[in-house]
Amino acid sequence: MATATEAAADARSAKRHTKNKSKSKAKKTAAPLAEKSKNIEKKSASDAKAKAEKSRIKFEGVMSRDEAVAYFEAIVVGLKKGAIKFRQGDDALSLAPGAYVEVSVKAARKNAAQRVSFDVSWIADDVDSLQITTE
Amino acid sequence: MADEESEFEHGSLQDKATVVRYLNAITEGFDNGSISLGNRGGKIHLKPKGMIDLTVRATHKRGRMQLTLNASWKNGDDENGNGHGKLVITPDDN
Repeated sequence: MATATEAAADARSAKRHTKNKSKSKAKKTAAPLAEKSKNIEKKSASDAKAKAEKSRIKFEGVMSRDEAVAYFEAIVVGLKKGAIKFRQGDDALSLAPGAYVEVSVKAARKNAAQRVSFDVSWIADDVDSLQITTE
Repeated sequence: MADEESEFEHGSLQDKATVVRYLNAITEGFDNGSISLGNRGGKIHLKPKGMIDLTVRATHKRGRMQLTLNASWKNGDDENGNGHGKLVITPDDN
C-alpha cells in the first residue's frame, strides 16, 4: 500500500497521462473519427474510474514495527490534510475526514498476546443535509 | 503461567485535531515500544514488540466513511516472529 502522499502523486500523474493520451489521439485522426474516438475514450475512462474506485479496501500484513509506524504516519498526514487515498493494486479509495469524527479505541492484553484497534468514522460531505423550514 | 488479562475501551466524538493527536500518540508508542491508554474507566499499558500483524480497512458506504486500524503482536516474539526463540538447523555429520 502506498503512503497518502505517494498515492496522491500517483493520482496526479495518472490524470496527466490520460489528458496527454487524449490530445495526441485527436491530432492523428480525421475530424468525425476523432470525435468518435474521443467519446469512446471518455466512456472507457469513466468506466475505468468507476472500476478502480472501490467502496472498500482491506489490507492485512505481518510487518516490522517500523513498517507499521510508516503506515500510521501516512494516515496521520492524510488526516491532517483532510484527504487520505488508499491504493491496493488497481483498486483505490479516497476518504475525506470530516471536521468531527467518531473515535473508538480498543486495547487488550492476554498473556503474551496484545492488540490495539483504532477506528474513526464520519458522515461524508456529499450526503444531502436535512432541511427543516417553517411556512 | 497465570492468565494476565486486561481490556480497555474508549469511544467519543472528537474534532480532527484531537484524532490526529491520538493517532500520533499511538504512532510514537509503536516507535518507542511502549503505549499507555487510559480514561476515567481505567488504563492499559502495551509493549509492541517483534512482528506486527496489521489490518487496515477503509470503507465508504451509504454516505459514511470509516477507517479502522488493527494491530496485534505477541510479546514473547523474537524478531523472527515466533514465540519459541530462534530456530537452529544444522546438518547432522553422522
